[in-house]
Amino acid sequence: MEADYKVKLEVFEGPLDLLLYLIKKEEVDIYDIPIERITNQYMEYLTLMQMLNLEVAGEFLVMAATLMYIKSRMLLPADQQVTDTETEEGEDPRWELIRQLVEYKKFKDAGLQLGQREEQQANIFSRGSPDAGTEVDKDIPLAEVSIFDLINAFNEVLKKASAREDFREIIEERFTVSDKIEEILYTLRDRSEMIFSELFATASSRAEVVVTFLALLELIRLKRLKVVQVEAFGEIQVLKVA
Amino acid sequence: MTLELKNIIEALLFSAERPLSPKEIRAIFAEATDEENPGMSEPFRNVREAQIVATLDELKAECELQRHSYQLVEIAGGWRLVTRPEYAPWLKKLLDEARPHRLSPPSLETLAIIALRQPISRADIAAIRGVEVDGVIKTLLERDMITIVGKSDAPGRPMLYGTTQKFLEHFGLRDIDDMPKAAELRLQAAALKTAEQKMEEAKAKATDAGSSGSDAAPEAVAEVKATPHPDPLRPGHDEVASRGLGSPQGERGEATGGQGRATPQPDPLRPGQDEVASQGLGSPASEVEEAISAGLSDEDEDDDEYEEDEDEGEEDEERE
Repeated sequence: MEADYKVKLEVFEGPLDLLLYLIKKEEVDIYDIPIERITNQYMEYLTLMQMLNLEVAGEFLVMAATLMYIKSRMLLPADQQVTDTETEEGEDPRWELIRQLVEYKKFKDAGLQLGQREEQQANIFSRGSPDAGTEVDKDIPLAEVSIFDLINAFNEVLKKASAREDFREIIEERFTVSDKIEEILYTLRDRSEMIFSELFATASSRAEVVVTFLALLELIRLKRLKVVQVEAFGEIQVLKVA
Repeated sequence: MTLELKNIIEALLFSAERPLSPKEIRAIFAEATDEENPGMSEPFRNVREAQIVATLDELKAECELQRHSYQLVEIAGGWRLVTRPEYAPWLKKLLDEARPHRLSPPSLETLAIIALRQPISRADIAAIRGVEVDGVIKTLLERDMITIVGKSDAPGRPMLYGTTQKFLEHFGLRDIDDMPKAAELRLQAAALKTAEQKMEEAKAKATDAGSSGSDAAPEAVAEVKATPHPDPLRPGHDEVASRGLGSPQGERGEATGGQGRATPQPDPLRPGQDEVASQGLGSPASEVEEAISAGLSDEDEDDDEYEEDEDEGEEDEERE
């Protein structure tokens, strides 16, 4: 992969967001997290984020270590657990994390509901609307889907691409993010939307998938495209921004 | 021709570019004079706030009844005439969509944390979110949704953040208790503040100084003083009580009284007029009391709260 074009994308979501995302996606009980399964998934996402050169916060690595630690403690039979002074005897090693997740989720939900109020409020006008004329360009949501939804979709495409790769001739191809940006915009020249997976329909290698995905992220950041997802974990659509 | 109180208030609301509180309206009545015809303004000089609130309610009902294109809403501690949502398509055209873009989910969630736990430091926000919040804080400051409200006494004296009047206006909130999940999430904050205040008191006693030397948000300290002490040691919430405290063990012995329940829960839709008057930017003690009394009654169900419990508020009222 050509490193000519570095996509700098700040991720404001943290490890707790990723865990909540996985818990929802896997439809597991937050109070009884299957730690092995979730840890594996977590690591998979972390690898993908690193591969995409996203600015992964150090907290993601700390959480990875925490998950590993909990996983290792869960493997020990109860009578051989090391009881450190702070935790009560026989306490589930997952408990501290669960408590943190549950508290965080309450705030996350409160934030979502605030977002709904904001949406309702956008339809209500008053004399001398106080917000008019203020700087509007900051803090545009990256997408109408979370970064983890995008990475999830990317992961699926990547898996398919890897399977396909085996049966192809080896041709040396070079893709750059800027070329892919042109290509995506060209595809969308006379239509307003396309399905996420369509972007990768012609991609012949993992490298091409990665470059295409980076091009998409960059176009979203530049506000040329936006992505929406109608149902949770459903197909992601790519729309042209008018 | 005689003027009616209602008409004058309507005229004020019509021309105001910000929400008007009953207190502000009363001040206007107290000061205004009609120089050509003093007899006209005189009858309104001593109008009481209760009367103003009653008139505002009446006006609000009238707007509903007569199907006006505008409505009277309570927002950010005051009252304001705003259009009804169904007229948005045309108004957006008229006003050229000059509205700021909506906030991103991480910003909204950080804002929720600040709103419900204010005053709060970056480190405490990051502890809840599990990730650094510097970028988001910067955006929120730029958007004037939050502001620095003081400095903490914790090591390093970090800045403390709180929400602004503009935040309430942006989201159409009456006050902080109008926030989603306010009762549930503010309770813990109140418990924490009580614990902090106990420490302050202990410090004050030790140094025998009247003022504890805290210049961090003086109104917050005052607020805590007026708050009945809830039991900060709710099961499963030890971390709340002990976070940022020197000696949580010291708290344990003395703070298990739990006298918070004595406060009757006011009807959230119709707070007493005195409360309306005092609901400015900060969070007056009455709000905290409300949060405590609302939150205390569901402490037993704490562990089940993860499953969205929309009916909670109603249940609380029934129990009173």
